[in-house]
Amino acid sequence: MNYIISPKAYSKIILHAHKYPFSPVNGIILGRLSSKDTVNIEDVIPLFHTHTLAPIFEIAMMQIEEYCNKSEDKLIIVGHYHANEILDDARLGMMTRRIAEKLQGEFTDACLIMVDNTKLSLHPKESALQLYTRKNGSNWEQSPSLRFSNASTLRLTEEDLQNEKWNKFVDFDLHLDNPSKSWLNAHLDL
Amino acid sequence: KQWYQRRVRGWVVSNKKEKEKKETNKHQTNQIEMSSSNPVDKVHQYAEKAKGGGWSAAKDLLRYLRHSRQRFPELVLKYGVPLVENYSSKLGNEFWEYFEMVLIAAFDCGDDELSEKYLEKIRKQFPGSLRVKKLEGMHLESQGKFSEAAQQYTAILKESPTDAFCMKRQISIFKAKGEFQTAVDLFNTYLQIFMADVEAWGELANLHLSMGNYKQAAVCYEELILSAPQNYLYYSKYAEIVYTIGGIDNFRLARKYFSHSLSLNDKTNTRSLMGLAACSYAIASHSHKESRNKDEGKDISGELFGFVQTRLEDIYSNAEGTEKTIFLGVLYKMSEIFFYVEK
Repeated sequence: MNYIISPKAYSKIILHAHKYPFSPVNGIILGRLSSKDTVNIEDVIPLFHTHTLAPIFEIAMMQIEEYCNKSEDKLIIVGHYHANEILDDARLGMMTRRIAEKLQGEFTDACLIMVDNTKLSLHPKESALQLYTRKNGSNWEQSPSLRFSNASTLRLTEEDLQNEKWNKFVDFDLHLDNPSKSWLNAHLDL
Repeated sequence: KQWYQRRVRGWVVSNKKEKEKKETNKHQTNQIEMSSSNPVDKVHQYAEKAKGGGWSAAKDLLRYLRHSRQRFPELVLKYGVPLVENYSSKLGNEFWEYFEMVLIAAFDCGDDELSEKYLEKIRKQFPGSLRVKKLEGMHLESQGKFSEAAQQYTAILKESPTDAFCMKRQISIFKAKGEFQTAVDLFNTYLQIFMADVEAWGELANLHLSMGNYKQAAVCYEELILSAPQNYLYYSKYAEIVYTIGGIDNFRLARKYFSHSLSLNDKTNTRSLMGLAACSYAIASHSHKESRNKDEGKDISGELFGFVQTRLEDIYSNAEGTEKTIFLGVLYKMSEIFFYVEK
């Protein structure tokens, strides 16, 4: 299965990580199955910059599912992304794995994307994302099958970083502190 | 809000994602302080003012960051460097405090060049000082030289064995290396001595959460609640943790704690409202499935859910169109379980 990520989704993940350099960050990946062997990752909904806890996570998931049902683009939940707190920590946390496994219950090719913190930079030269896939209840394994849909993705992300777009970036945690802020981040114009 | 926004300087975990260094008047300051915005928003307000220029606004920003103990090292560098380099006379006898604050921000941002330069200056000014030795330790940490940093702190602890700062730095080193269990053990030792250190309990709770030790994290929050029984945030977080552990008894416990949090603050406590909605729904689903305590599902949970729904509709009436539709749709679907139980 190939996974192709849009510039918008890539940028959002990177902005989320940049906004909260001292915390773990995570969120849900949205996209569609565009052919029998390709998943297109179109967008992400950033969730938390605290350790994920069940009640708010469940409510957030209900809202994301509702958003997908109502979306004109017919998006579905295709995975989960996570950035660890510690710079060189590449471990898959228990909660992270549990969430991704649960998503596989709804969409068998749901993936897990971990952010490689060591590759984060204000002048990105390479992708900072690592794809993990899981077949038939075995372990999550690294997979090389993640590509950019657009060759200019890194350059576009660099522009977003230079424009300090993380200042206006809103995740679900931030939305809860201030419900007038929108976790859809349409105002960022990515 | 305060619990996760407050960063104690002693708890700087130096390993973090890379960020390169980037390039009023009294009446207005008081307005920001007195406003009811949350601490993070206040920081941004102070930063806006500082953008307008002037040493005074820069000083106000740094002062607020220090008092509210929030971690925005990039702002400290951006406005603090010009402040300490060009306006030292204006800072008077507070100069070295601001200087130290900028130095620590340089460590936090991984700006080696600035760190070396400022550290040298502070060494010359205070030769042999214990405080400077601690800064040397933090410098080593920021460079990733953890063994040397640990040795530095051990040496200081030999001279002053009850130095809390150095103990906390040692714990941070283990956390930064990813050796969480060791960090937890050291934490427990530390807390036996300094059991009133509220921020330490909070940090230990976070460490347990990152390890998936929900029961131990809950214990930490019990201590926090005991230390500040009027703080609505602790009850809310405790409820979230016990709900995560799961099971009908914990859903009921979480329901109590979310409710208590709301009784302390029902104006800006959306988290607890959502948490209470989740609890009511979980309990009602459970009751409905097991045909036990049907009345509970109908009466208490139903009433609480109704209360929550009204409040949330109120809050979201000001929200942007899409989110409002989504959220109200979700609430409506959830509320159906209560209609079903009533039948």
